[in-house]
Amino acid sequence: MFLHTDVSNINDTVLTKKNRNSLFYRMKKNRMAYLYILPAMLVVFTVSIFPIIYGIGLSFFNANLYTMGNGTVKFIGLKNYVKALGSIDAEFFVVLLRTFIWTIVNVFAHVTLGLIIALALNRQNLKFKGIYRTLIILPWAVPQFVTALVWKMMYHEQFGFFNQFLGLLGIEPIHWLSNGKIAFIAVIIVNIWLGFPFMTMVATGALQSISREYYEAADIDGATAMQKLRYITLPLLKPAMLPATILGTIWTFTNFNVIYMVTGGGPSKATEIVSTYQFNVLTRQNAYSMAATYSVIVSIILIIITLINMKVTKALSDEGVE
Amino acid sequence: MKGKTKERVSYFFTHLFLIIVCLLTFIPIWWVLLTAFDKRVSLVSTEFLIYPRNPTVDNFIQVLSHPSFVTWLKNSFIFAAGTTIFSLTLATLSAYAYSRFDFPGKKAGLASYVIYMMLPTTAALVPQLLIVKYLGIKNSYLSLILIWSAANMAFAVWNLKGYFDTIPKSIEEAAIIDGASKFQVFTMIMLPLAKPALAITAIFIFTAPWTDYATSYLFLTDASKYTLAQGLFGWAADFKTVSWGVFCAGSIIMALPLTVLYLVFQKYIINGLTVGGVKG
Repeated sequence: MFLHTDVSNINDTVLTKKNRNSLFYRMKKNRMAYLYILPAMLVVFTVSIFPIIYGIGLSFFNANLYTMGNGTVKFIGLKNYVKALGSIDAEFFVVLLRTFIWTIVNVFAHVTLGLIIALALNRQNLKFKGIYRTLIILPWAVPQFVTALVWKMMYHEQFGFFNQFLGLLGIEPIHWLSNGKIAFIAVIIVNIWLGFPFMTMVATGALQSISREYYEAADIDGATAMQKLRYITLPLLKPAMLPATILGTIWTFTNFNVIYMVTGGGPSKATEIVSTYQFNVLTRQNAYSMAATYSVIVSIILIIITLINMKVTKALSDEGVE
Repeated sequence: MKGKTKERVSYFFTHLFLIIVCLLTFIPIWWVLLTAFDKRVSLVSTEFLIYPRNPTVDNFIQVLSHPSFVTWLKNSFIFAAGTTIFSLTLATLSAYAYSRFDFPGKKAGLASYVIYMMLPTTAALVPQLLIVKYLGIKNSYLSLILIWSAANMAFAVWNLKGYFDTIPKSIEEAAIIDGASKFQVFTMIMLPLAKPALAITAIFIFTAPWTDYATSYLFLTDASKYTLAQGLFGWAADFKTVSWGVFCAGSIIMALPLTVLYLVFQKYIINGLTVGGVKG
């Protein structure tokens, strides 16, 4: 990929002999560098980028297990995209909407809980800080895959932890995973449990770097605790929390493990989000082109989120807060 | 005097709040530990326990002598270690070049990794399957080591390059004056200095194959190549043949190494994630 740009650079500078010499000279002098970067580039290109381009191409065809089997794969233009997004009734549209709800609810809970807990942990004369901190970050340290499977068992209607606990209190068992609406709440609970410790850690780190002097000055001016929070703590947390929030948004949006392990997208697709939906379309329906189409759409949404991220980060550094 | 009581009350509520949060984070973990370390007659837990009534390590002995589990453990280790060694080697070489050489095409190369992170990676699955079948390497260790390595390369290169950039150039210059070659500088000065970054990047890369279910499900159809993720997923769906105790013991074995590493390196990992920028 980069080799092409080099070649065109050489052509551009062909007019000035001096430049060409210096470019060649620089390439020759640094030839070891190309040797160093080549293996990684080669692996990424052949194993990933080439298949990705092929996959994007597939989204304009009607490839599935059937058409590929009897050789009737043909170019169908944007039909897959129209099918995915063409009408509000389309299944994918519902899934996409659910993914947005899932992302917003989760990220909001992660950031709010993370902040509140970090503020509590940051109190100056608090005892047992270390113990609290370690226990609170445990959900982050355990691999997500294992956690998700364990929660699935805890939600088990007969023998799971929750219904047994409710049984002790004399409360009727809840259909955690067989009722669509409750199942969606159940997976959100799992993901909130998994995600807030990361935000707590980021916020704790940022809080520790805020100088005590600000608060002392505010105390002299007679500021209330609320005012200190609003005018000192929160603005100074922003540079650390904003990138973490955007990162969290992308992770939550593309999360696969939690929903797939706990509900598999069911019951009757009630908890399906884009990543699980795409996987199920690929593995259950063998609709290769449709799966690729969804993949491209998700990617475009993620690129938009990333662009917003870059803009916000740039705005922050222009403000001089970073 | 009044102010002091007020402060005490507020600290009391802070402790109360934090204890509740700790209970919430700890209950699921405690439940797994209980199920794994307690001897039950039935396959599932039918009674509510707060502490183990009959502590035992039977479940661990059972799971470690289960032929399939041992195979999964071995496979997962080969996949994860292979991916880590392979992609860390390539990424370190690249990152060093991007950090220390000023060669034409450097910016384009680095930028191409950023673009790569934004591409629809899941769109590659079907073509990758076709390629793997075409090459006749389906169900091989190599096929998935390559795929996981490529998937982690961009993050690894950027992360390591960022770290190399923070090592002052004067150290190398001194070595070059002493007659060291560039390669010697790389292996004998840069690598030892970059140990913390290498460790963190290795943990990240290792996590992907170790816990990835979707990719192994798609690419591995031969039971002798199944990974822990596939195996435990199967066990979680089938309580008739595998007891919850055995499943929980297996989960603990799968989770423990990474949990310990993440707890030990937590500060570096959080920094690496938030400073390293957006990982797609």
